[in-house]
Amino acid sequence: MKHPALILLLLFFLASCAPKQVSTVPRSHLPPENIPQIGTGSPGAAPPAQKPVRLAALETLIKKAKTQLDRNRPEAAFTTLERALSVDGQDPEIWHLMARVRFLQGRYSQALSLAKKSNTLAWNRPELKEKNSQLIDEARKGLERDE
Amino acid sequence: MKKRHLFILLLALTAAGVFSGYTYTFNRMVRDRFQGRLWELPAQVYARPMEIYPGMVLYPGRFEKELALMGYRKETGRETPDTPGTYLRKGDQFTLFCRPFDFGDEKRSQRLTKILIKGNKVVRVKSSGRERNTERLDPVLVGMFYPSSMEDRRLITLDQTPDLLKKTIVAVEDRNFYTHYGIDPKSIFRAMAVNLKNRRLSQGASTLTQQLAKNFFLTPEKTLGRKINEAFMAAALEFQFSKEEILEAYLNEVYLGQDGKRAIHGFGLASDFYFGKPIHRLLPHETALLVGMLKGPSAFNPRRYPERAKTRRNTVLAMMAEQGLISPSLLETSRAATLGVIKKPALALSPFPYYLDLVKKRLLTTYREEDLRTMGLRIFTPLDPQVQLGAEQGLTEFLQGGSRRLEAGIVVTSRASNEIQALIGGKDFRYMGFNRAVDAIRPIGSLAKPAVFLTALMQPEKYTPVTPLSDAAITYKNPDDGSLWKPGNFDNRFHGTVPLYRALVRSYNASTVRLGLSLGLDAVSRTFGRLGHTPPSPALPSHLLGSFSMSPVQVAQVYHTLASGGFHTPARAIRTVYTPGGIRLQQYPLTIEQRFDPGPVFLLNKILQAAVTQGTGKSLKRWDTRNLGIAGKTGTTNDLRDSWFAGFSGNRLAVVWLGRDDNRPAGLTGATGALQVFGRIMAKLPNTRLNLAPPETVEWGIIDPGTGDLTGRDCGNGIAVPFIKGSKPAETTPCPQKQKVKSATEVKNRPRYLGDWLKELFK
Repeated sequence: MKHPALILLLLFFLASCAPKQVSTVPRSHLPPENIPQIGTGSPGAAPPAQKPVRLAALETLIKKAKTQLDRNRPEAAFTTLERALSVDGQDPEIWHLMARVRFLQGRYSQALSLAKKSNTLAWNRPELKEKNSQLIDEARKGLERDE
Repeated sequence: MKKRHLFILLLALTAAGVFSGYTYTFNRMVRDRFQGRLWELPAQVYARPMEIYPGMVLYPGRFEKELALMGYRKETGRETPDTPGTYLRKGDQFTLFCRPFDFGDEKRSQRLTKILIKGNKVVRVKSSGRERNTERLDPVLVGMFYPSSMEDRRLITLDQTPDLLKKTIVAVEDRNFYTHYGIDPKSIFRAMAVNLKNRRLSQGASTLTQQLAKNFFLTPEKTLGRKINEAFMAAALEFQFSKEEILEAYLNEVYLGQDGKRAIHGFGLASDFYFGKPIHRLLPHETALLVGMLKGPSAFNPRRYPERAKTRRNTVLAMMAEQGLISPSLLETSRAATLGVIKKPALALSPFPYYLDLVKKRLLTTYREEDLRTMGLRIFTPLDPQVQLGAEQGLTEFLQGGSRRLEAGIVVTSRASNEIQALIGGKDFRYMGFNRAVDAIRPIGSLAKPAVFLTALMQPEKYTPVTPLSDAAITYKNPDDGSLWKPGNFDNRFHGTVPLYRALVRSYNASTVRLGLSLGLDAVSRTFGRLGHTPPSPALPSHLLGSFSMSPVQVAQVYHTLASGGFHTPARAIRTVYTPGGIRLQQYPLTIEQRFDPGPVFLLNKILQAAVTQGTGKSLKRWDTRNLGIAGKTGTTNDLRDSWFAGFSGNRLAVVWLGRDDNRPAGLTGATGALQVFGRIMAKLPNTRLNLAPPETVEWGIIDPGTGDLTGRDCGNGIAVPFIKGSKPAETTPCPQKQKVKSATEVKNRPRYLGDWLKELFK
């Protein structure tokens, strides 16, 4: 090893080529890659690193629901969100917004369940999970107040 | 006072009393009957408005079928459609002239919409010249709840009615309409004279008001007593309502023909039925024909007696000219015109009678049947004609060439919202017989087993997917009567010790019963109840093998809780109910309740996926060409009487039941029968892949499928199995091979950690 500094530099350079860890997301519940899974027979799919690309229709409907919510029309927002569900029923943001609508209407029990449902679908969305957790806490407090 | 005078006085008083009594009664009847409305309006039931957006899957042929159901007429030989309710098709480009529609939450006006489909996917949507991300089409009218006499209406108002039609009616039917008080004495005397001459009651002298009275309340008769009643009724109507209101009621009420079981009432509907157009587009000779039919819609039916109808029409045209309503030249051209009546519209009653039946049953819990039939409600449902037609096609294909006595009950719902998208109550789709999807309660057999295994998986300290279970022969002694029950397996063999997941995947009975008895019958029953249906009480061992009965809709409710990851959402067949005026009366939004921790449900769903890939459901592969990862369970009952399958993809859940109405053996297992129907149906519908999301309470282990033991990841034949965190078995069985063989996948394996990466680099 004639030039240790050079080698170190080389190592650092090569290390930067290694795939990045998404450190904010716990991964132990994810299936091992490249091993066939029970049920599907195919290897576990790693969750997408970024938010999947949404259909424009979905963006339009979600935007509309948010506007209706801002204009204090919660029931109209909920109807729009149900329309969005028929486009993609597994999008966690739709369920999160539904939870927010119910929370604003004081329907805490529904808000709680809807936020939990959103969490089960928020694969790789720590910011959304955080919002859901906050909503769940607030909804629980709301329920206690109501009792 | 002389006795005679007293007698006359008494008689007069009595007559006066009777007269007032009658008047009071009829006035009261009229007022009560027409409180706020002059005629019975049926409730209208709509399918879901089609949401069209770039990126969605849409089969052009099926789309055209829905357009036909929506009442859209196809045009040819022009560049753009020019009337609302028409469309053009050039290859897979559709140009629609959309009708205006009130969706309840939004009103849309008429507009031109262009839709381009490529490879069964919508690529572009343009409305009013602008590109759109999403567009909503007016929905299919699924049906109407008729009043008990099966009447139908298309409401028109006076200001919508052309002058010519109004004036012609008055000219032909009741020339003195605007001046009499309900009855027209001159006409009566004239009629009486004619009747006396002919010695029968042939000539009518009914005013429009009397005809209205006749139509509303009373059965068709031609007696003198009837005439008196009509007179009182007419007077009451004149007293309560203005001439204009009476004329409007008449326009909507009068009987103008028959379409099978359905009566055609009112000019709005008649204009549609005979000429396929709204009343404001009627030509003079068409107006004449309709008015001419008032005298006898059956006798002058233009489709059955065209010559007679034409003669009558021309008589009316002459009367119109005589009254100065049309010019002499118009009279000439009109008389020469052909009748112009269209072929009967294809739509008879409801195209989807089973779904309509379900909607009505659900509504009856909120509204009285009377209100349903009379208020003119607008009911929006989640019925999806694309899904319904696909499901019908799938079933029809399966039944071709099979037993004629085989029947089916099928329900398809949305995995996200549990809205019921399609319902099949029998193989004769257009005729409402016994609604098997809702009312056929049949033993569910192995469909009950997931509840047993879910109960086990909810105790991870005791049971994991690989816990060894004994599938040896078992004998259960009934404590009450000492009788013995020896449940056998379907293949008549016992399989020794098997990992838990295999007992469910292969639907073994012996191991399921053993497991269920260990868990406790009540515990399993409680799980079933939490899933969405309470089994009968007391809980019996045979319930573990589904010896109790449910309908397909009830089964769907239970399986939906699994499909949604442990959340219970009641299935819905109604979205919203509006009054004719647009006020929202009732909404049925999505409601949800978490009933199970996601962990055990995830484990169970993975096993149900395996049931389809390796177990009793593996022949689904034939239809699942897109590798949807469907999870599901087959069900077969004793002597093959009932064939069941319940399963779900990423976006849809479906339950299929096949069997015979006489409960004789159908000769089909869940796999050879219901599963095949399920497969065919799913292959015809846009489905997304079932990507079950592992909850954070789960961890994975690699097991050897041969032994069911946990192994290291390097063995090369292992499969990844989920466990609740902390319940993974500690012991691993070493790999059977002595030498580690580097497989192709290992070479491609990208290391996740820097350390691994360096190791690879310097190996």
